[in-house]
Amino acid sequence: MANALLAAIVESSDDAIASKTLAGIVTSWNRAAERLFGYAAEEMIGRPIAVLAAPGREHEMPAILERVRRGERVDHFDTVRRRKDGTLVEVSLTVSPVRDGHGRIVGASKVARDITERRRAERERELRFGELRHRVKNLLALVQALARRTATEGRSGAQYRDAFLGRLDALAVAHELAFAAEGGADLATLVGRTLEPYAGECGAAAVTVAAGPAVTLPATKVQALALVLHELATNAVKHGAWSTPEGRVRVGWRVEEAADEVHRLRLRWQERGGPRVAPPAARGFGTRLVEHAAAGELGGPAELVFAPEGLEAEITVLLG
Amino acid sequence: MPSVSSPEPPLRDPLVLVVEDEFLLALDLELVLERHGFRVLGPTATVAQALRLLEDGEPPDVALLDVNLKGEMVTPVAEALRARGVPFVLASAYGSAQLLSAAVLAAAPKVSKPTSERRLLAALAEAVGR
Repeated sequence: MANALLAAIVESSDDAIASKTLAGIVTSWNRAAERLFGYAAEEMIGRPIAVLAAPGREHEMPAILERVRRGERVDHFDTVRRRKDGTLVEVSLTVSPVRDGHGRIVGASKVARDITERRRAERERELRFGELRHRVKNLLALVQALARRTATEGRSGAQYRDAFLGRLDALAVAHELAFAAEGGADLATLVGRTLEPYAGECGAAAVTVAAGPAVTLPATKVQALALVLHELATNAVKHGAWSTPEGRVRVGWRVEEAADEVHRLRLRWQERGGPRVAPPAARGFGTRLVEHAAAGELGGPAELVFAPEGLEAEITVLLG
Repeated sequence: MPSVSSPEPPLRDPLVLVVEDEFLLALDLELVLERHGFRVLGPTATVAQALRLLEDGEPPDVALLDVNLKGEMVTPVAEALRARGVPFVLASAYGSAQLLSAAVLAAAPKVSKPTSERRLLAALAEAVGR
């Protein structure tokens, strides 16, 4: 009765359970072992367990049997075995000695658990963790670059701080929008959020956003465009329309649909009512940032026209 | 007697190929390197562009490579550089375990990201000196 009960428990277990002699010949094989390895009990009983060896792991089974012979138990040994159909399966093995009525070791019992799912989840977690670490380090590198590139010449400590923090804020807004939703960020929201501090400072009338069609920007382009808009805005405050109370900035966009499916966003920035504009004598970091962002990240180009009545910029973004 | 002209290259600043997909970091690197007496080839953001620059123009003296370019590994550029005998330094925000998969990358000198200007320049100088 007790034996029948034990046999029933083994038979209904979710883990593959088998027994073998010290020579590695299978003596019992439960239902779960049939499911896991694809061999029926009739096929396995009497055959060497070595048929399950995965290529390159043939040495493992004799080593396990040797330990069992010495009376040791092999606990949760994670390895790979080969199924009947040739596919490989990741398993966790526990192998214990089986003794006869005199206490002699006569064989081994083996419990194998399928850990494919656990391993897949582990790998996915590692991958995500790696991506996250990459993103964080990259972000630190960006902050470092912004700190290094914010000019110190002719500025007080407080002015440097404010200029740096302005850029950092644009980066923060971009980061928030880029990862807030799957698939990207809304252009109108990005423009609004990036120019918000200036609309506040320069008066709500100082900026007009003539929203074009709804555009979802890919996450990779959000940061570049936010920094470009920020540079245009700080330039307007320092040298352009927003350096006078009457100055105005108009931002608008349209989307050109091309036959090759690569849609182009044309974003226009137009300043009016500020001081007369002369082309800058030297290209500052802001100008280079706009050009690099356009050529690299956004798909470009960026056109900056220093018209006497006000700066005009057209930024082209490939929407893919 | 006039000396036989030795094949001495004209004095010029070393040319460094910069491969970096993050435009802001690329711009920062360009400015750092220019200020420290390098000429910059690129920066380029993709493997294809980098390979084209290597095909077409003046060969660089050294290269600075970001490892992962928007999901694309920089390995083909590293191999092309090795074939031309151009030393290179890797800059990556990934841990070294993720680099070891390609031997050509595993063997190269590395700087982490972010890194200080001093460490970056030292790594480049050492690579050129090899």
